[in-house]
Amino acid sequence: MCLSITFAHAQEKTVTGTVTDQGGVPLPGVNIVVQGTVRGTQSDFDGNYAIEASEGDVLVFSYLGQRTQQRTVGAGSTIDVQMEEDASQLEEVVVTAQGIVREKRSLGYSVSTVASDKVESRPEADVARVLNGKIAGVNITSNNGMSGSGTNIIIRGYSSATQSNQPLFIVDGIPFDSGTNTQTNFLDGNTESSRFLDLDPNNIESVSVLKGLSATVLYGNRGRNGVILITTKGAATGDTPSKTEVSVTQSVFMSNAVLPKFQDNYGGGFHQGFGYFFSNWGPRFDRTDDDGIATAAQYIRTGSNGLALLQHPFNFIADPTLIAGYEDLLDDEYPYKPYNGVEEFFRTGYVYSTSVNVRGGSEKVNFNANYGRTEDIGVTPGNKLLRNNFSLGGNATLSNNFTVSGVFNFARTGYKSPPNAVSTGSGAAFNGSAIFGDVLYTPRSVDLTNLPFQAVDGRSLYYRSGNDIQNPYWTVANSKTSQETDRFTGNVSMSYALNDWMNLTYRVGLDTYTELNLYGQNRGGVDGPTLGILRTSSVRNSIWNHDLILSAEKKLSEDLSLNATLGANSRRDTYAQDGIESQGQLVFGVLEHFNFTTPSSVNSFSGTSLNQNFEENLVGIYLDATLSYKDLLYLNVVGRNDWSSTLERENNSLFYPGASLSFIPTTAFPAIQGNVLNYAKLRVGYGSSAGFPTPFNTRDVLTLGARTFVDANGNVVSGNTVSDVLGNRDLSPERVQELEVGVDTRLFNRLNLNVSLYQKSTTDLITNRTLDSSTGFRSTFVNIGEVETKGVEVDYDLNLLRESEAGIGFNLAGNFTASETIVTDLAEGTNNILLTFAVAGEAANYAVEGRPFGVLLGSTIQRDDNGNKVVGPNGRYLVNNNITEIGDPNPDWTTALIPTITFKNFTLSANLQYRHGGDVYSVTTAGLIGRGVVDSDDPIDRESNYILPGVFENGSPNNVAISSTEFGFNTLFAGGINEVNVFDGTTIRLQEAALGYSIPKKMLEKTPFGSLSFTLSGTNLWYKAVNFPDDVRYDTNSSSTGVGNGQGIDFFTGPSTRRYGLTVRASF
Amino acid sequence: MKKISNILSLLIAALTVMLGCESTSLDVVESPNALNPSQASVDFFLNQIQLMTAQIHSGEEGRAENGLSQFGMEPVRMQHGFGPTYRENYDPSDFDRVWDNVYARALIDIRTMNPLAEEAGQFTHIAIGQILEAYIMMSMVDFFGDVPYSEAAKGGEGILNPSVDSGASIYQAADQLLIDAIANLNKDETSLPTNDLFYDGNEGQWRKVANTMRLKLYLQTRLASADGFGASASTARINELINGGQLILDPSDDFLFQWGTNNASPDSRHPYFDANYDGAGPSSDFYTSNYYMNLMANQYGEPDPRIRYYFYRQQSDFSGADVVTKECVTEISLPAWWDSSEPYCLVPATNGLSGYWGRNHLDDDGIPPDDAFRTLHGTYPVGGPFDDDSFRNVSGSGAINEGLVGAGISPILMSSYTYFMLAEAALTLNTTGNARDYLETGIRQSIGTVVDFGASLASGTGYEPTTAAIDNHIAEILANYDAGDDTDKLRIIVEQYFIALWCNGIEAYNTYRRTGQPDNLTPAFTTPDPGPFLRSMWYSQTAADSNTNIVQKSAPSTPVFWDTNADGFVD
Repeated sequence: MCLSITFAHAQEKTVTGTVTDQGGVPLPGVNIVVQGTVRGTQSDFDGNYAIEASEGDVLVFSYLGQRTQQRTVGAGSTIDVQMEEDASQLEEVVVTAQGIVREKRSLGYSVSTVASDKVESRPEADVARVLNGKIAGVNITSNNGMSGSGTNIIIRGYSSATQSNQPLFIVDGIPFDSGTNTQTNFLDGNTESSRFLDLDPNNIESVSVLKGLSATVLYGNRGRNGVILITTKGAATGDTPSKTEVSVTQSVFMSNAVLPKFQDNYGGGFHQGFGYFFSNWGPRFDRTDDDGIATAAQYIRTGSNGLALLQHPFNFIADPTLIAGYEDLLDDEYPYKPYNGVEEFFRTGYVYSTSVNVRGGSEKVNFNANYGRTEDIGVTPGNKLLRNNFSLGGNATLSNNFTVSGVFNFARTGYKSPPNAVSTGSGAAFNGSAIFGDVLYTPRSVDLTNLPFQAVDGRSLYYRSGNDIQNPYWTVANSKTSQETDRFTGNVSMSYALNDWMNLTYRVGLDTYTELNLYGQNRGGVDGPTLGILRTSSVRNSIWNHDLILSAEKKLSEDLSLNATLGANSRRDTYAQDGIESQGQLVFGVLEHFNFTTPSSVNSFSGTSLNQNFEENLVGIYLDATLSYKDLLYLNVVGRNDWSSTLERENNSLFYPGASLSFIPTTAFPAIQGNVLNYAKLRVGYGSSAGFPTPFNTRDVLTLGARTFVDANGNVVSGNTVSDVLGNRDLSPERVQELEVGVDTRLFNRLNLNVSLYQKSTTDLITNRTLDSSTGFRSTFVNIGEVETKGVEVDYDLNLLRESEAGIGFNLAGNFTASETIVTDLAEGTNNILLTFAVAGEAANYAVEGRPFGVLLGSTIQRDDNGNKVVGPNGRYLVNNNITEIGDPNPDWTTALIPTITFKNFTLSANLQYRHGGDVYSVTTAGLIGRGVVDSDDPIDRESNYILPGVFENGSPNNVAISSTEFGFNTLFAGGINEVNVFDGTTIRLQEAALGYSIPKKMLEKTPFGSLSFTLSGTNLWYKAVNFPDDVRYDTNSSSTGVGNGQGIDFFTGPSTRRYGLTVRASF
Repeated sequence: MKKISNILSLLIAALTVMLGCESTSLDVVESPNALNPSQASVDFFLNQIQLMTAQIHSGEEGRAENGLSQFGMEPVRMQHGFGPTYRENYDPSDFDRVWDNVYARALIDIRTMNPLAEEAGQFTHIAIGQILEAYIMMSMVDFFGDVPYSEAAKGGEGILNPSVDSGASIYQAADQLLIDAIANLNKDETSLPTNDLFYDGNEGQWRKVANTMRLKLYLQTRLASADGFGASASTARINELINGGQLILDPSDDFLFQWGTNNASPDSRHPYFDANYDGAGPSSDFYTSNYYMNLMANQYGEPDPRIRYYFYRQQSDFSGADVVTKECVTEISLPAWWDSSEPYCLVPATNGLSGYWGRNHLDDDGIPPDDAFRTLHGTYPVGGPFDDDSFRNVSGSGAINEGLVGAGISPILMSSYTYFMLAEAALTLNTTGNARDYLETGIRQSIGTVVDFGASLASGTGYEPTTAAIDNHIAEILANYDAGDDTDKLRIIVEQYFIALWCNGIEAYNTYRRTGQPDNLTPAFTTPDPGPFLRSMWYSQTAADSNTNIVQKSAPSTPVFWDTNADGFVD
């Protein structure tokens, strides 16, 4: 809403004044524009403004919900304005692509904006998570419950099968890398942050989301997945405050893990028989019915309180060297009872957030400085995030028709957590350690908290005789991942006014960061390399972005005016990663490379080289022209041509046009405007874009293994092998097109209602096609297939009660999103395309022709020709391993309701969300119920036998009884039947609630404070996935597949967190 | 004028930065992260192909499944397979990795290496590639039946859905490859391989491998009805090969892959060693079948002399075991379908060796906490510890330096195998030579190889077999052989071949389906009817999913072309 560029003008002077509302109260944030120019400012906290204008110029004062006022500049230099409330004219000004400022009414597409007060002082440090539920059409999913972990953002569905569907972040006009630099694929750990974590939500002035292609054409191919335009406070200095202002915000939040509700009736074992197992199908604790524990070999006697006392598990540890030093525990009697080991494992987390903002300046030069510090101590031990942000921005109007502005942001983000590899319910499924896999299904009878977790020589120690499960406390103490990021972003913009209607602007931006990644585990672990591992890598990512823009604004006739922008853009992305991995730790506990015997330049988990370099250049030219007729009809035409370095010369260029039309019937036919229909806009837009592939996919390559093998004599043998990926020189860009229609209205002077419908399709999808390796290759990038997304977005804002009328205000805002992405075509010869890494034997996301994008395919219960479930001779279901569709992870629709009640100086608000449908393949649920630590809604009677409904292969009905363990453990969990672990993801959620109080201005008059407010707020306060088993308390807002094109896959994502706390804001 | 210079200065500044540097270059399609194919080295290809052959055979470090050898050992009760039915013993996705290794690594590398080697006159490289290709493709037919071959590894030519070829045609092509390989070995090459991981460039030994592989091929196809195969063709070719005198007949010519001891960067140890002795205790796949341990411990009057080299016992008695560590310990009654002479729950100590803890065939129960009891793979061939009655706990994280520290071997074609094959040929096809003599030499060479291999660990322990013990053991076997009819004779030959084949499941699986012997393998544990035997394996999941010309089998029971035995021939 604010302009970062001020244009110099002939014979001008500074006009100042105060803007007040109907009641004479100063009104901050009023947009003041010199009509016919893009010059503008905003009124400050006290309603004051200052703007350069010439005599005869018309100043336009606009503010949401107020009638726009116009004043012609006369001889004087003071113009005070009293605004009148009138919602019929929505003259809101929004920032659109390439920083072009437009009246909202002129746009033929929808732009959603979120103001700073909806973003700042939130318990989440991650700006994307803060936006969750605030914008229709934007789907935001956390990777897991750890603070600082990655966040997946999908706007208006999926437009590519194997290319990124993540939106483009533009911060202060320049591209901002939002990548998630995973160091291995999600199978070995999913802890890396998404780099928009480096943004401080408290330093954000506003967020605009450009969802449709007609809005994003100017951003080139990277804009095809939507653009999140962030204006930081540093860049928002277009206005000139009359005095220097300092505002300080301090927040303290607490967070708790939302854990499953464990059952406390049964302990570890199988078939009601006790054992120091990792499953919980053992005897009853209360010893009624069948006193199974008394028959256990470990049973000693009954204690005074009736509890069975067992021999300490250390008596059964096979390797005596493990328990050296703990021999005194051998004689301890170990009560057989439920322990709260898991509950005690997680801790209360804290978030401390401080933000200081200083803004000020003089007539020609102004500035904004911001400092933010956020410390987020997660609920998972070992998880912590610390971020420091500095930013400085300002602009200056020079005397020679030049305007210069710039913003510099520096962020230092440090993040660490224990590794979180995929777990399928039994420790880590792959190479890394899995913090959540090993802990969440700890049998109830295991005293996790009080067992020693480490042998004297440092090895992990736990309760099983073979010591084959890594103690979670050992993981916390000895295994860690971290990312330390130093990031600089800056831009400088220079503008020159060619004449009174043309400007030439050159803007250069640099976004660069270094990210130091660490993955380390001391020797002595059970998961991961036994001898210890340390892998460090440093990443340097840079984006250089240049724009040269010629903009013109000219009134062609009385009724017709033209706004046009002609631009050239070049963007260069470089990514350089260097690293080393060491194995063979010498001295326990020292995680430094000098303390390891075997260095390597290869990541032993993924087999890929730690040294990776990528570069990508993109050159584009673009044109944007808007013809407006009488402020009631706007025609916008855009086009851009891109040349990308990621394709061969023949295929590397693509032109994509767009056009949109906006029509304001309430202006065209004033007769229809009244107290029912205050304002209406009809819009239609067409847009298109290109999708270029990631670099280096067109040529065949040869993989060199410098150390392929070390023979028995220690000689290093090298090898080279044809890469598994078949290069494709004919690869061309994918092409996305979108048609959007919409209507924006204001009704009854109280209701703003905006509706958008869109249809988007991608052809020539760049697809990482899995090949049968008998082709000699495992995959290749090809242009095959089509996906199509249809959707509807509604947002509304209803002022049920206006505070001015009733003394109490009640506003109900909200949004609704329904969208469906269908794979409309796959090439002949392709059955399906796998969208993420898959875990063998587990469900995964696929693209299947004619089906919604990302359907879950997996194994099912074998069925006979009549559809009967088939059981084997042992009475358990046979598995059909030919993967078939078992779920659709796409929610049918989602909605959010945002009620706000204001009373005097109190504000009470909430964000309630509802997600309808969207299946989740939940291994967490399978593991918790299958291992017997959580009772399902229909509890498994452990003392009964079960006959599964079904028939034998010969067609006769099943009559073989199986035990409850065989039902719960073998059938629901370990039976390899993916189908039984798919749950409907319908979820109700109280995403945010806040109660704020601001001290009345009068009371502050004799204090140094300009304003002072207190807010109690919380996020993720309550949720319920209604079709999941209650006690699992599964949070559907998580995904094990990380940032990418997977969804609805859970391999122990870990508990989600509930956060709440207090914020104090003050300005001086 | 000032205005123009202002504009110009802004434009020049912008254009200089935008265009003057690398940021607008569009010519960056070559990856800096890998080599260009034109930089390939023939020697490096051959190294890779040789290592890949070993991995196809024995698997890779850190992988859940351990190569074709393990897939072969499980159905024939050398190692334990989960079941509970044959259908469920494996998932199609279990075969993805080996399928990738065969086609996307070994075969494409051979095809890419050959023209480069041809041009450089490196005929020995080509010959080795041909021999390994023949071995790999025969094994693929043995396990999967009809698989892609003539259209395989041609993705670069646009064949993205290769059709399958008949097993017989692939065998024919393999035979031709072996003949061509011998011709190439006879040519004058410009240079020998710099790193021949098998024979250090000895062409004479490679010639013996090619000939022995032809012996294997013609023994394997003795029942086949396809053109060019069958008893008469087999008899003629085998006799030719015997007369040619170029077979692997001496242990010094053994065709084996020697692993190293390096445990990282890269892990170069025998993959089964890694699965037994690294970190979290033995991987759940690693149970030796009770049948197989009993065969060696108790079949004759004394335990087989190789038993302490093959298995390491962590416990001498199971008094510490209970229903938790092994459910069947407390179960007295045998299932109705179980022959009481067969080992059921534990391997009995009939010959005084107690402590063998394995698992029954197709037992799908969860893995109990029995790491401390489980009998692990010993010295031969995986490079683990020698069983010297020390009964140490070697399953934990401290076990990585046990025995030969993983410097094991992948036995692919050992000289003893040749004799067992010749014995079967002599008995069933009347080929040249005496089956009994072949049998005896086979056993002697196998024992000799195993004892030599483990000498560094066994010597001085007092548990090395004496010459007399070996002689007595062999005499007992031969006495049984002499006393038996032809079925008994074949069973004894195959039983002894099975023992010699420890950790080579490829030949064991083939031999079982070809001969139906041993015909007294223990039944499935949880059900009397585990369904039809795995007469071939599922196709790889990815292959069936991604290749429209491959249709997944309805069940893994389709016999391969050389297996013309009746339904239910083996179970």
